[in-house]
Amino acid sequence: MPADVALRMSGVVFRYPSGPAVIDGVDFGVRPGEAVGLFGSNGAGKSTLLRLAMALEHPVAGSIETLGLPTAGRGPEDFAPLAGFLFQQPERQLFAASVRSECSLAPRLAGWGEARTADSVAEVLNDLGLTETAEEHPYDLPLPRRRLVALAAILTADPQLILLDEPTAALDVASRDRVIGVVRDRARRGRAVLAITHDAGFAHEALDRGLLLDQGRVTHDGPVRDVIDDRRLVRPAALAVALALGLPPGNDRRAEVAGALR
Amino acid sequence: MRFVARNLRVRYPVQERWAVDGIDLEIAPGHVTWLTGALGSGTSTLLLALAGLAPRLTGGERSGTVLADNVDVAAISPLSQGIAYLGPSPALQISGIAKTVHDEVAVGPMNLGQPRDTCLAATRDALERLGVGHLADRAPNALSGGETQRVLVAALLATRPAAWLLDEPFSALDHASTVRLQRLLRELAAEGATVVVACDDADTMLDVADRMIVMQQGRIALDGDPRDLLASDAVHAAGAGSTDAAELAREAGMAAPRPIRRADLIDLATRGRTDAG
Repeated sequence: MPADVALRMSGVVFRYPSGPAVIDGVDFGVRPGEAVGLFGSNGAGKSTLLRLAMALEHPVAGSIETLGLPTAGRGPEDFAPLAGFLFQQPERQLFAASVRSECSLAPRLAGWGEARTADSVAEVLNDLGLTETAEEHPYDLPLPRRRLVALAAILTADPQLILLDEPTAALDVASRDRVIGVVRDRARRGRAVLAITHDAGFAHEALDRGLLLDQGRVTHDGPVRDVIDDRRLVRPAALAVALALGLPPGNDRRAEVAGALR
Repeated sequence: MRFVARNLRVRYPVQERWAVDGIDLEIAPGHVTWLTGALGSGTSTLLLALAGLAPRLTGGERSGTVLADNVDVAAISPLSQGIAYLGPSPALQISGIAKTVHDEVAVGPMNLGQPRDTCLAATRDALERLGVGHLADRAPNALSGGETQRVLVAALLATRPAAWLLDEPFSALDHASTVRLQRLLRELAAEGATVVVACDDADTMLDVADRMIVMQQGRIALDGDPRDLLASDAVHAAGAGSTDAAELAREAGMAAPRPIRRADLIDLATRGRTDAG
């Protein structure tokens, strides 16, 4: 895989059969180490864009390269588990009889040995606060925790590209903080993240760059704090306070703002 | 519709722990009741039990009673008795028998045997109140997450339920849709409906709810006026979250009046600077 780009879309147009164009000419790239948010109103085409990136759908015009490979003529099985996709209702993407074996599927699919798999599973479960549920059946867990398990299961094979559809939906505060930590950590380690979210707090704390999708087109591409706007996504308190205090750009992370308030 | 739960316990198959572990509760019509708590505290299970869907659909067992207007919910079919339940995975609740969003919304009143004109009028009204009229001709299974959530609320609304039991109904909504649903919940309560919402987001529910119930390990830890409860440390101690601004103030160790909003915090922060300077 070339190191300079994890995902590239050029002139992408997509429509469902006999419908209007859902994606209407989209160009952008996501580099390794970038955590990018995909914003837009309900129905703007955000989930479709992720499905295109994972080769679950194919454009009617334009081209897509995922991890350096054209998606044309390929399917999701050609990209998983090096690209990980968390669906919007991830509780439906669980198969195994225990959390641990669910999380071991992707590394095994990637051809990892037992020891490396076990280490990775233990680390991810710890990061997401799931260690004590390792031997439980995923369907015995409350739904928010099941969603965390689905996220864990795509992270254990250390994907180079992480596609997330509303990763914090229906999570409690503590679980949400875990997801924020994991996303930032993966980006720091050079993985590329593209996340759909309506959660301004998550966006503000976990993501660097934002793409705004409106009627199938990218209408804004820049630092996430510029894309968050009260008309689209309510600014989280930390960002609002940072702006009010005139903190310099970059000082909008929650912990730093809390520090400035002290 | 008035709900009365007495010594209610619910647990899932092969689990030793009771997900709801001894609840006595009355929920009156005309109010919005907000359920919250840490992960696994039992809010979702309580909603399922109030709807009569746990253990009927989930398996497991229930002890104690849940009455809806003096009828045991275990003995009734929710929708025909005026109980609307929306789960946290709305896509699973699409009927699968309607080709369009319009028909999906019409399925409920038609199943209740209402006259055709009544069904059509209720469908039109529901699509409009949820702002999803423009989706009427779309296929229900080709909607985005937020659209699905709004269409399903519209489908429930078309049956004109007396009680609403909603599990994280804002989870996939954008800001405009959130504001619309907040307003709708207030309107439903004002029209006399019983509205119960499980929601983890204090910023969304603070101005909507009349009553806040914080659950902890299957039991009711706190029950009262949301503003009173959020003005103390008790909600945090019980594992639930406060508003985004209040959490930030707590992290900063500020002695801030709670429940505070973003604007209050900005006010405090900038005033503090001016005083210091």
